[in-house]
Amino acid sequence: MRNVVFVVIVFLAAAGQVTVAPLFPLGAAIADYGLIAAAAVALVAGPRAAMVAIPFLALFRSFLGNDAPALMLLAYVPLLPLAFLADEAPLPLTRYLRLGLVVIAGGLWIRGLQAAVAFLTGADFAPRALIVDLLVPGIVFDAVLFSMLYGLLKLAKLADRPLTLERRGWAL
Amino acid sequence: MVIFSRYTWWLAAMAGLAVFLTLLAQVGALNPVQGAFLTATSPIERGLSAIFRPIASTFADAGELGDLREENRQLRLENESLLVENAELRADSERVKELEGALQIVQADSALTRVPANVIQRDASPFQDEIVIDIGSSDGVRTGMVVISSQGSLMGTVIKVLSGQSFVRLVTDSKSKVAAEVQETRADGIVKGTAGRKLVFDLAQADIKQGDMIVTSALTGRYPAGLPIGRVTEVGGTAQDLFRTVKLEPLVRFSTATTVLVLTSFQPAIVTSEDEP
Repeated sequence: MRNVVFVVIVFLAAAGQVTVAPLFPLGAAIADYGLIAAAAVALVAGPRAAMVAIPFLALFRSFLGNDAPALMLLAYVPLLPLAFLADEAPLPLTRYLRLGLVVIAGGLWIRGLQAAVAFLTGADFAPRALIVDLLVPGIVFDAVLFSMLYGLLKLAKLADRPLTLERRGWAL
Repeated sequence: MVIFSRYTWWLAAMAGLAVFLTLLAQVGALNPVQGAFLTATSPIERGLSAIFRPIASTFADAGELGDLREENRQLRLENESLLVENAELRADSERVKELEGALQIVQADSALTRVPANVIQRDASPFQDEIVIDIGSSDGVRTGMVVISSQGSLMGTVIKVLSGQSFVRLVTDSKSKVAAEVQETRADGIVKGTAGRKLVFDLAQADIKQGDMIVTSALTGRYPAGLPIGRVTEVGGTAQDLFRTVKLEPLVRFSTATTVLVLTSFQPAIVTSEDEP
């Protein structure tokens, strides 16, 4: 039942991506609601719930946005290994900063991948526009939204799950 | 690598799923599923749009208050001159009808059939600008058909058709390239979308100035001639430059457009998935 709730959350994020996000751009960049939703699911319910939610997120984004399903999987699947790396890394960082790094790296990866596909399929190669107009404001936007969400989840005491995937069993 | 050992089965499953979905997409088996999904979820998307679109419009209008005042002043002046011009054209039209009647010329109805559609959603990913409309192949929509705004300016081209929905690539998409010309001088060029969902006009050695209207050209056979695209807002370089940098302001505000028209009677000469001139 919990997983169904998380699938509904990622659906709403995917629907918001094609209805709400384009209405509130930061310059030319828009936030990636799917990325924020995936991070929120991992924070609240741990990596196993995110393992279920992420493929659904990719499929929803693909259907709603006319992108190849494999491309969307390739965009969102690396988030969990990234979160694992950030959680295990011996760095003097708080949990918020570790996950913030995952959101930033994930945002760079997703946008970079979409841009690469656009370049390969006919768009003019525009690295300056990619960096200045899309990547930088996009990840700033993602980071701001993630920070607000993290603050809310922290207040509700819902942001304490480790992101490391345990080897034993399926217990959440 | 501990990371791969712990995620092996999941990553393998995702790779398998990606291959499976790619195969399904290649044979077109995903289209009915996608159509059913879009049909089932469109009420939710409409609800989200209905809630947030007015808020976005308010923010956009508030941010442009100064510009709107100036624009309003200019539009009043323009309206006045257009009223005068309209009166003159009406008189000319009556005169032409009289002459045609006299010469027994039967003029073919050149009006294009327009089918209205609602915008369900917009995908504005990096370098991409597409909308989904709520009519599809069952309404006569085909790939390559031209989509215009309710006021008649060019919005984009249909790139994918499902039974009840269609995907439209807007002119601001970075893959969009439209054969166009300067209305005043007939100098032709290509209107292209940019990474930031803006419009630029590539033309070779021609006089162009701020305020010029850019319209579609029938040169490639993909668009009916004369559809307005946008006005020139900035011209870079000099007249001696081989290519000048020309920026355009679209006539339609794509982010808040809710209704579009599909030109179902216009058959583009060549239809491919890519919108090249």
